[in-house]
Amino acid sequence: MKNFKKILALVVVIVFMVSLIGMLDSTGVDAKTAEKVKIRAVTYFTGADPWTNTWKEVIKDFMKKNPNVEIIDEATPTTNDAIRTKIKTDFASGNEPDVTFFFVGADAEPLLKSGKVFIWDNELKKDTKWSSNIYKSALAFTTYNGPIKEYKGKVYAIPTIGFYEGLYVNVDLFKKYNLPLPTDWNKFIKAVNTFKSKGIIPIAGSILESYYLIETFILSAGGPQGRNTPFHPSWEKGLNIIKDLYKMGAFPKDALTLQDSQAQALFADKKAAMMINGSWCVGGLKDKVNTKIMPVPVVPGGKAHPTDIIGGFGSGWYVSKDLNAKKNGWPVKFVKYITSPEVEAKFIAVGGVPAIKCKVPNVTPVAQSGYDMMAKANSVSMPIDAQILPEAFTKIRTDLAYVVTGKKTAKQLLAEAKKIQDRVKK
Amino acid sequence: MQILKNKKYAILLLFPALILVGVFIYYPLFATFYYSFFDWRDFSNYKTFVGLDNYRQMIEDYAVRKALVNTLIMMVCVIVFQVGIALVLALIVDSIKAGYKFFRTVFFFPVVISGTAIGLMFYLAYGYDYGLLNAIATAFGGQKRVWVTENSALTMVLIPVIWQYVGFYFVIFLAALSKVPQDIYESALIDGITGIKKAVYITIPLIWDVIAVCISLAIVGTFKVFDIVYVITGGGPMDASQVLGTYLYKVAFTGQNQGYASAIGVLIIVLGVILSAISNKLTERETITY
Repeated sequence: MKNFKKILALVVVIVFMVSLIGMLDSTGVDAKTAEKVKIRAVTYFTGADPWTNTWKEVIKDFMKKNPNVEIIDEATPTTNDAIRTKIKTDFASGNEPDVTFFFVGADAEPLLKSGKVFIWDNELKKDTKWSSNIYKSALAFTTYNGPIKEYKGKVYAIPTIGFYEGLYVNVDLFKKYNLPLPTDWNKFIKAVNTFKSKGIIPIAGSILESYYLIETFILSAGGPQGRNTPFHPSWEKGLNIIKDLYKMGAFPKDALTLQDSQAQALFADKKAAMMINGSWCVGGLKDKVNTKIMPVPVVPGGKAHPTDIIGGFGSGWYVSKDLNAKKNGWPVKFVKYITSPEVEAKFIAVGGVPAIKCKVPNVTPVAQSGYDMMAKANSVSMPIDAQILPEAFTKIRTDLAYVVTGKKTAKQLLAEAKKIQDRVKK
Repeated sequence: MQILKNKKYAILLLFPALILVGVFIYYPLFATFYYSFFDWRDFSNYKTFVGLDNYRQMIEDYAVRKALVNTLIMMVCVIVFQVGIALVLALIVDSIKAGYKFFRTVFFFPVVISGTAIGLMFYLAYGYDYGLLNAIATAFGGQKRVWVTENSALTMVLIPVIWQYVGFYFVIFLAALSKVPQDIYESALIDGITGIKKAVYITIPLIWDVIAVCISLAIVGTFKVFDIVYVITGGGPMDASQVLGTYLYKVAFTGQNQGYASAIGVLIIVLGVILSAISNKLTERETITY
């Protein structure tokens, strides 16, 4: 027992001395700041998209420059809406990440409602060295215009990578069959008929995942005004155009069950002549020289300008208000680093449209044609799913198969979707 | 040993399991029932009480009706083919001496593959342009065809669903068959009963309680079918292969309407309980001890 007491006393003395030495060593350094600041960052850079390597490289660089900060990469896929579920439940349950790269528009409303999102306006005013590089037109997409008063007119996310949707064309196939590029509806229909007769799929489109077909044809039919008015009569016309093209055999034979990734492969392998899709496909193209991106032609009687496109900045960087304050502003500092011109250049070199002024080296011809389309656009409209309820848009997208096969009219489908929308808006 | 005999300790030892089951099974179950009376979207903290509105919507919803019919068709097919094929295979394998272990392993193998992987495998096989089936067809001079259509979709998803779990029931039947005393068969042989007659009049009645359990498991299992259908067809085209599980997922996660999805969840639970109770009642026989 005596020995035990002696040993205990010795241990206490040693621990005391070690602590004293430790305190002397860390003279002038607050123990708290010496601790690593951990920042949880949720993005959708999971490997399924082209920006993953850049993201990994960028967070590594940031940690190298700031050894006291550790970025915890919680990338979650967009497939099956996994990221939507994760972010929304995280914010609702008080487990929000420090930094979140997530969609803006209708998807962001539950986040804003939680009152946990950092408002960027003051920071944008305060740090002009950083904010002057962000395009005002891009910030307009992440400025809230909905019913939540606290956020009305405020910037709630910092945009980085923008997107556009358009008509991808395999120029070499058009040359081979002596066809003019589909700059108007007649040329487009002529191309559809010719390719069909030659055994080439005219449009690599998926009816199962028909997001881009719906958005672009509704825009073409109704113009920006019609497209931006939920359930405008022109929406019916847009859906009927897709039906007409389906009846003509413009899409792959298994378009009703084909997934978008396989439709992209058909276009990249030159099994299809055209594809209606977004800027995220550029990275996956095999032929970046003989491919061109152009606006979807205006349908007969359509209200769109020939250069009106779907596009914008559909995602942005969110920061948790409370966690930013708790962590000495490191989440905001991290987002500022991510949205600096140097880092932006790295992301845009892979694909997408820049929201921040930067110099991108070696732009491929196909990417350049996409930038040109965006630059020359008469108007750029956000996709429909950023505007109406996810449930209502899902109804239109998944039930489009009923319309194209003639089992339901476009009018009926839109009425059903509107009913869903109205039920909530009551 | 004395400790184990004491019931106090037994009850105490059961508590951790009870807590786990309570937290992960019963609480979500009651929560689902509770949420089904609310308009709850986007996983937000805001819910509005709507009473039976979600259930009313379910009655009007064509996709729910289609999913329900498909689930019931799938249930019948699973009982007939999954349990049926497993029983036939078990009877055959039990009657052979050589290769018993080989067949047991081969038939059980699909059970260990995840449903998503099987779904992807069949999705890639059915594809029109890059699919395995069409590649084989064209290699033999045939024509490509669209394998998954409105008419064929349910059958095309049923094939992998049935195939995957045949091995599971097969192993259960094999274990049951191994327990049947040989002397019963020997006396049957003396009476001249062999082959199919032996299976119908002796083996099946002797393992009937195991068959009944398998039927019950198959019924409950049908309500859990999700991954294979989701990967191959997503429930389409035009809800042709929609089952309750895939529709619930679509409403909850793509449509972000968790209130309505909860009501569909309640339907799945209630149907599962009712149908397995009915099956238990129908398959009830006097227990044979041997």
